[in-house]
Amino acid sequence: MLSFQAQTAPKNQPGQPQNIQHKHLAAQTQQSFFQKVCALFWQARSLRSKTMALAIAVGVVPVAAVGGTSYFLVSESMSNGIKTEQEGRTIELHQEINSYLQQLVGDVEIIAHSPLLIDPQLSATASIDQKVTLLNSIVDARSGQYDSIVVFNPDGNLLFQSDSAQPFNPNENYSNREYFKRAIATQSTTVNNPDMAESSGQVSLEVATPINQTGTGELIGVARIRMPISSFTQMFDAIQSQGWEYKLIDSERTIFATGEADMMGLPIGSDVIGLDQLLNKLLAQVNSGGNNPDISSSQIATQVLPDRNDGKEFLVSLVQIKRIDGMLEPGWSLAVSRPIDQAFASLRQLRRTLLFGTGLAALLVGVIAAILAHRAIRPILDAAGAVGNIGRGALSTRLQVSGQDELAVLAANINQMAAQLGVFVQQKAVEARRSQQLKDFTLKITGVLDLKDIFNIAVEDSRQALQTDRAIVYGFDQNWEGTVLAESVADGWPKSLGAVISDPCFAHQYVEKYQQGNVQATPDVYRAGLKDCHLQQLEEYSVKANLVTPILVGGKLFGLLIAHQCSGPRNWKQTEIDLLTQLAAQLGLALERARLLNQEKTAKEQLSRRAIELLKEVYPVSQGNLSIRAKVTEDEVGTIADSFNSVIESLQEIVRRVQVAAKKVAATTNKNETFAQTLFEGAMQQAHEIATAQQRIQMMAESTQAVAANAKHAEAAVQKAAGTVESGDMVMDLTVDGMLGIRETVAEAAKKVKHLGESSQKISKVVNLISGFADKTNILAMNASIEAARAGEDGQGFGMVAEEVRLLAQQSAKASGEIEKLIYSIQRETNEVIAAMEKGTEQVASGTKLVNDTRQSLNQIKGASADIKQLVESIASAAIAQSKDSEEVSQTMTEVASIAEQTSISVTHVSDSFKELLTVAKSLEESVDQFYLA
Amino acid sequence: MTVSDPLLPPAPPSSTTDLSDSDGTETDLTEQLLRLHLLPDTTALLPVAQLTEVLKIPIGQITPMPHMPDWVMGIYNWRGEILWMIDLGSLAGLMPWYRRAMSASNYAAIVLDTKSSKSLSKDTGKQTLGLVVNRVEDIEWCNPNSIQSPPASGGANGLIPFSRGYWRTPDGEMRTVLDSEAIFEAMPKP
Repeated sequence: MLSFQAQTAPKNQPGQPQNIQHKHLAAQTQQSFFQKVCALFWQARSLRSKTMALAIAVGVVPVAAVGGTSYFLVSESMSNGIKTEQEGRTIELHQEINSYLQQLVGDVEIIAHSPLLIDPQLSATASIDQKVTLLNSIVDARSGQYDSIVVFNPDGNLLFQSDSAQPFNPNENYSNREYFKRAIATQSTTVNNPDMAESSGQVSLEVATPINQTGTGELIGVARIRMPISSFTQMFDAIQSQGWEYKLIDSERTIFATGEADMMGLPIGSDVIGLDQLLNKLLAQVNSGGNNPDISSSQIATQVLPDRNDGKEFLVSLVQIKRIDGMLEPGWSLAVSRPIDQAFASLRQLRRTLLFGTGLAALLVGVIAAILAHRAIRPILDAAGAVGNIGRGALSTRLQVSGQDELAVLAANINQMAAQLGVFVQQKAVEARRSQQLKDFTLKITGVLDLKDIFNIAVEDSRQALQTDRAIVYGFDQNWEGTVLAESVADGWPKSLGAVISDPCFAHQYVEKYQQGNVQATPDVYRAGLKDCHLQQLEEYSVKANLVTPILVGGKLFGLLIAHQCSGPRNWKQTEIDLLTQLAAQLGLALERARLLNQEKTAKEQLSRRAIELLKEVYPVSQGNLSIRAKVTEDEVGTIADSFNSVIESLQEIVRRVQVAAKKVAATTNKNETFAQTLFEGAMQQAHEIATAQQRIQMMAESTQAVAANAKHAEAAVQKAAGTVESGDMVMDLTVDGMLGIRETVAEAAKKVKHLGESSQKISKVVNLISGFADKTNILAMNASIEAARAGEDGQGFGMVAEEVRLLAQQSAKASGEIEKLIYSIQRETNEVIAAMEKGTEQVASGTKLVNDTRQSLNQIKGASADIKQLVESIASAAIAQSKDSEEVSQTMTEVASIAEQTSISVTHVSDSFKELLTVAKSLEESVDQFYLA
Repeated sequence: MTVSDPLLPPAPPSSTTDLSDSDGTETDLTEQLLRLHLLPDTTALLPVAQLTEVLKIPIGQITPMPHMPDWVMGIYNWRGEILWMIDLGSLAGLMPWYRRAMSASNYAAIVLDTKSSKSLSKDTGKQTLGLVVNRVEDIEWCNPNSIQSPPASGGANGLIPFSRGYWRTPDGEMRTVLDSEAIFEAMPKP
């Protein structure tokens, strides 16, 4: 079983050892929990089911996988094929419709461009009949596809029409018709959404186009062709006959042509759910795909959609019809659909076949795998059952061994193991019985003290245990002559109890051997080579075989425990020999114990008798008579008596001395009592004075503490002062820095002011220059005036300009004069500022010096206060030390006081003790007088 | 010149030779007079019509001439012509130049010529003369009719021989109006 577990274990925990090392701890515990559950489940299954499950799984899973994959791939390609086919058909139809519409538009445009209509001359000469004939020719050419062709004038009045089954009313105005309005508005061909004609109930397609006159381009009418939709839908007959359905959808998403008559004129969503959305999707595709003329995949959409009525699913292909000029946006659409069960019929058949084939293959593989697995594990199950039976105790169970493989070896081993186990169990049972017998025997003889009883039990048990005919205890005397002390004999054999057997050869031949514990086992007395005398003795009791074990008591040979077989020779087994030896040993121990117990008992009795005698002798001592002596004998009690005597003697001596001493004590005590009194008084006084001294010292300590506290305060104050000085120093530094800053600033300012002075001098120079210019200008102006004046009447204008220039020059001169004045005052003030600044600089310098002086003074103060602080600190520490000392002194004094008090108490006690002592001494004297001392 | 430009000062009124209007109203200003200082506190006027030019001459450029009266300061090269420079103050008996404290580096000078003086032009042709004055100040407009004749009792004022008359300024100050002809006549004839 173990080997199979080892094989199967890795299967349910694949890759676990590697995984565990890499997993996070939490994940690991979770995983291991999961795996534990899995493992428990897996281990709970039988080996057969596990093996079969694995075999089936190995067989079935690949088959199923291959079947599923192939089904998936084939169905994918097939459904794509079906879809493509349907799309192809749809596109074909779409192209057909397209060409149809193109033809229609072409026809109407032929009419609109017919020279008969647009050439003014031709039109005028042609009769109405000729024009009608033109229209009729077109109708005929299309072999009745068209219902009617009509031409209107621009006001909507009918001009003429083709022959028709349903002619238009010539007197009606048609300008309100939609095709007419649109043709006029767009000036191009229009294709209308097909509509149901009110008159005929027939759905018709109407195409109209404006007719423009040649040359002028003037609108002279509108041509219009009507075509019943029925002639249009013949092309769908082919697909309808296959069960397909079609829907033509106009630009307003209304169905206008379909095989189902009840769907006509309804919105597109009313038949198939989701067609509306599919159209939206298609339009989006077309818009994003651009105006590619080819119908590509972007212009067709195919989807499976459910029917609105019965939920039957259809494969619907939707294509947008290529835009024809004049069609309303976003154009028409064609939907072609067929039921999905028809469309995918082949696919369904394929699926059925594949499922059936795969299932059959999987079933076959599974059955074969299960049978193989079952056959493979049957021997193992048999082996497991057999081992189980052996475990339950059926050791006779054996397995059939067939073949040479590992399973056969296993079966053979199991058989061997079962046989071995049977032998062991038998041996163990025998041994257990023997030890039980030995134990019973030991228990029985433990409580027995009588020797005879012991011997009887021994022989009885020995005979029973060995299943012999006779068992005897043979005891020796001093001459090694023996007597049978106890016997147990089977019925029918001679009794030997009390027989005295003297064996002359025993003493020197066997004593030594038996003393060393040797056992004599004789299977057959006649073949043991015994002497005749010996044999005769044995024959007397019909002994055929014997087993002799020594009984040793205290290491000495006491006797022999002998088992006789009278019925015939007996081959003694080792276990039997051992058992008898052990019985003999137990017997020896029991005998020894019995002997010891007897000895103890006699000794105890002797001792108690002697003790009573002794007590009687010494009784008078308790009455105070110390002259009595006990009789001394040779035993233990005699020793006690001797020592008692010596005790009494010592006691006698002691009492004598005590009497003398008591007398002396009484006398001394009397004398000393007065001394004690004096001592007591002195001690009291001492205690009192010490208390006074203690009070004083306490006061002293308090004042010292106050000094220390004051010193501490002083220290703090000094520290504070030092701090203040330091901060003052800092402030001084700041002040000096500030002053230096001021000095620098002032110097800077002075520099700048000097610059200002220089600048103003420059300005002054410039102003002088300007003033010179003004002067010169003035003169020039004057000269000009003069020249003008000299020029007389002609120079008057020039003179005036000159005068103006002159005035200007004068103003400049005046202005520069003012500037000069200003600059002069600036220069003067600048100089004053410079002087003031220099003075300021000097003041800053002297201020800095003063501050430095102050700082030095402060530093001196700081030094002084540091000295003071040190002094105060030393005072404080001295005071603290003193205070501590005085506390110690105070404590010492307290101790002294308590000692004095104790002394005083002790003295009181001493005095009391003296008094007590006196009484004790007196009573002692009286007591001692009671003793009689011969 | 009938249209008056607003930028220009008011044009002198067209000459209304109304000689009867002897009072000389302020509005009838037709003659230009140059105001100059002979001494810093002595003001005189000279008709502009009689002037040729106003000059500023550096001191060293007047070359003194020997054996000449005190009031002749020397000659000056005036555009290539020799121009005699005379000290008008000294001529009029005022303090001469050389006795005055000199602070300026230039002389202010006025050039007179006879061309502008109609009476002389016929006889002697063109004559020029430079006058050194203390300061040339300004040009003023005045009514020639308001110029009063010099008082007969000339008194101590040495300018009278060279003056045409007096003109009272609008603020009531009396100023001597010099006459270049008189100055030319005072010159020694060649």
